[in-house]
Amino acid sequence: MVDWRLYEPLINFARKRSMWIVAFCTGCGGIEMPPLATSRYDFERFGIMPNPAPRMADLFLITGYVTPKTLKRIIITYEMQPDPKYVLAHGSCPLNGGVYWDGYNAIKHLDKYLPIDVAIAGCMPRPEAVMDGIQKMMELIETGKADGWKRYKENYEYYKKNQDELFGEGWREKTARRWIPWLMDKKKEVREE
Amino acid sequence: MTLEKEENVVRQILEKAPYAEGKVRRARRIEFHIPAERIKEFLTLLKESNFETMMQITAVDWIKDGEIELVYQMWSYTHAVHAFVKTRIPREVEKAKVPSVKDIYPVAETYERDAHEFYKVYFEGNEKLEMPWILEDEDREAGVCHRKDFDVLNYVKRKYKILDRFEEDKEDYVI
Amino acid sequence: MIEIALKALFILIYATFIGFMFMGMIRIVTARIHRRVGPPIYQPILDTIKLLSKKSNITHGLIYDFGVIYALGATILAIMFIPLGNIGVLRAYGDLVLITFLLEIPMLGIMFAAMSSGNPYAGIGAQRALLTMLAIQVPLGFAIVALAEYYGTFSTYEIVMAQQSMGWSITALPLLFAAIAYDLVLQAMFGKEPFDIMIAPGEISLGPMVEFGGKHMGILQIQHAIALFGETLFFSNIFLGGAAITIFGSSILNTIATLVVLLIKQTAVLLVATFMGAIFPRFTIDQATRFYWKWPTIIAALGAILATL
Repeated sequence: MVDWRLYEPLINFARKRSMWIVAFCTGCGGIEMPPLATSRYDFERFGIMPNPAPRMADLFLITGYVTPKTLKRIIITYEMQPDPKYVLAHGSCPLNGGVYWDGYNAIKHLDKYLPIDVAIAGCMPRPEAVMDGIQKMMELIETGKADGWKRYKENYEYYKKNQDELFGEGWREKTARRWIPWLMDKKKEVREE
Repeated sequence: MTLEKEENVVRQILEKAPYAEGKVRRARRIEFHIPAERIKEFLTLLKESNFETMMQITAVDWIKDGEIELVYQMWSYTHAVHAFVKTRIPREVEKAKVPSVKDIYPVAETYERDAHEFYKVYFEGNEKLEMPWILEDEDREAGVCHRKDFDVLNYVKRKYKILDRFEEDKEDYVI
Repeated sequence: MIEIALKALFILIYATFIGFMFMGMIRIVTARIHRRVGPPIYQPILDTIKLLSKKSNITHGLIYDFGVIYALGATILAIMFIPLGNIGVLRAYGDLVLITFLLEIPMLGIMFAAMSSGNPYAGIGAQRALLTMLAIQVPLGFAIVALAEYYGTFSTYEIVMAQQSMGWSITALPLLFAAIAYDLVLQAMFGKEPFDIMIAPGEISLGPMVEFGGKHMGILQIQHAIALFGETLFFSNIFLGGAAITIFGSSILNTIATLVVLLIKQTAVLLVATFMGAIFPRFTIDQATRFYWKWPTIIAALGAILATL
């Protein structure tokens, strides 16, 4: 059959020039997305397009601080994406807690829970800095070194241990069932009226 | 500029509620202090005097007095005046109980849930106090609250396992 | 026999390539309208290569895989029936009703696949897409009836030949009305604003396409490219006088000239749709249905009545 590894340069070129972003902007960096997407620092010329469905997207932008509540949803969305997938972290909060270094509600070191490929420093980084980061990401993809997804798969026990220590065991089922007693009671009282 | 409109409003309300004390702080802002048992009467009175909306229920923790102060912030569209209604209740968790005002102002249910979650004030009559609001389950079980006797820094060190980085008696940090 | 197979293969490759160029053209024209530099024009090809090379694929069972292939197959069959110069393979058998039917089946295929995935957004998107299809049937039917009455035949090939001698269809008044109604229907069939309620990015997370990732989405992009090519080609053939050039001596030059003339007409149709799509917001589904059953129906019915006189 055809040996697809011969076509690696073409496939890497296609992957670096058409990254689709999951439209999930955490924290305060969501405000830096519109200047990048509109006519000032247009990123559509690199083929980057925001896409609301996680199943079709490959780049995840973590812009700003991450709370434990958001981190649960980020992990669920990250695992819904098909490989290969990349994570770009903006700002100093995902690196070491940033301004919220002593807050009970902000994650201090995101790399323990989710593999990060490129980190951009700043609080918030300016759009030019984000363009620099995107260019570095494209270089990493071209040389084949953007392997966050491989790290996640190989070291899954490490990531899972950190996630479970932070959230408690069995956090997925507990989060999914948290609102049900409140919604069921409300439905009952509406039906009785 | 004169503060006539605000003084009129204060005078009208104080005529009907002799147990309250009120004064004008500045233009468009007036303040009332009432004892804790009379909250429902006073807010009913305010609702009839054209204070249509409740904007927020704020809780302040006076740890040296041993009391929690609840501030009900009311806004009137007709008078264009912002009223603070301040009450004080004892601070211990078993004794911090106040009647709920959600039958007078339906929006108060959400603000009471907010004050309950962060300051452990119990509002009698509101059955949705335990509905999920801001804190996650693991924080709630560990007793996270904004009272001044809860040691946030140690909790953060334990939760995120960064025991070696911050000491409280250092003046500046190199992280 | 070999010749027919070669012609079919050529049509397929040509349609895919030109379809991707059309998709890229939509993106770059929209970007220039927004005063940005857009992506390069071959961008959809890179998107499709990236999607087809995703290493993990999520599948929800047999219907999920089958619906996508069903959509692609129906579109490929549709373009074989449309006259394309003298290399149309099955052009003698393609009549108006058959081609219209075949151009609507891909939506049904995507609906099967989307609804079998169990995602609630896909369910809502599938309902809305089916309602849109229901809404566009009425003006479409009147437009087809107007054409058939005016030319007296349902066969596309004979309509194209008749236009070579009688001039373009839209110079006749009843068919001008039918063309306007059909152009509005084309907006919904392309999935562009103001009738892109079935795609609806950001509102219901892309509607039916929310669960497709990896190879399924790559196949759907190819299907979208071929469908764009097919729908614009159909419109240029029946309303703008598709080409059948015989002035050159050799048949290869004739074919190339025909393809170029058709390409210019198709690009014109696409640009009109893109310009309309760049300036309108999105209609909700009840507004879209009410719109389609009011003005385009009246215009197309008027065209049909005038065509019988």
